[in-house]
Amino acid sequence: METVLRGLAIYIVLLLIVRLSGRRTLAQMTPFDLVLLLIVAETTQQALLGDDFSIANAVLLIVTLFGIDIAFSHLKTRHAGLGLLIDGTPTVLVSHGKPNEHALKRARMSVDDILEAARVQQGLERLEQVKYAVLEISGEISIVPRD
Amino acid sequence: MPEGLQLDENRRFQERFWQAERWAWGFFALIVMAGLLGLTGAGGPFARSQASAGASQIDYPRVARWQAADRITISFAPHAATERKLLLSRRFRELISLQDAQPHPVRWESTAAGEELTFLVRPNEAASATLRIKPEAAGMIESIVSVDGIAANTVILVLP
Repeated sequence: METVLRGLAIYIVLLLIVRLSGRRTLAQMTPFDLVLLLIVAETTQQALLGDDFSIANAVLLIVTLFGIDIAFSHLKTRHAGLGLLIDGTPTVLVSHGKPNEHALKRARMSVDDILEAARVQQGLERLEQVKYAVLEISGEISIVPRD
Repeated sequence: MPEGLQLDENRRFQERFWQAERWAWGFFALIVMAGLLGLTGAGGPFARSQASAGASQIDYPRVARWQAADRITISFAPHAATERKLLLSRRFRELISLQDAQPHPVRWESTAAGEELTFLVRPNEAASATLRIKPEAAGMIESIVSVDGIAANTVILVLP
């Protein structure tokens, strides 16, 4: 029972912290983000397993985590509000070449981030060539070029 | 939704969520501050508490962590007796496991009142003993620790 409760508690806590830390954290994997990810993974491993390193415990924990994930994905499809809360909503950062400064600031993004995504995805050179830049729920910036 | 872009953008929700994020960051900062102050256990100015059992002192964690090792230090006041008794109440023993005691007690007895440890000390000299403990349950653990028959209340908050 303890293993299942540990898995559930850590899953929910991690979900909350990652979600509330903002999508900026997910958008660009900088060296700092990689270090953070590794440390968090190591820290949660201890909290998840405790002193029990048996295969039975590991299997139970893995099944629990997958189970929670499946349950959440089902709940999200049935309840749109929950999906919105867990995954968020796409945010338009640039519309017709004009950056939305308020949205950029709140999302902790800069025009440089948009330009980087525009270069990488579409080979664009200037902001005016961007029709739309959208911060997707995955944390990535998608670029729609002007015709 | 911008014209021509088929996108299910809920800006009103996003604005509220951005605000919630800022509140959450404040809460994160509070958690870090609480950790630095010792309010989450494992060191810090407020991590430990003291209780008096007569002239003897009991230094114990105010905040401990579930299944994490911690310690209780008993400072025996000078006394003519060579044997000093420490009694841990039944409730204490039910919720906190005793891993070790230094110095080793000459007797370690289980009684109806709880676990009694007898330490051999030099008469009329101050002495101390350290117990290594591990909380087995989370929550507020109120228990009684007695030194030479004088009881002291201890309250330990065990975080999960």
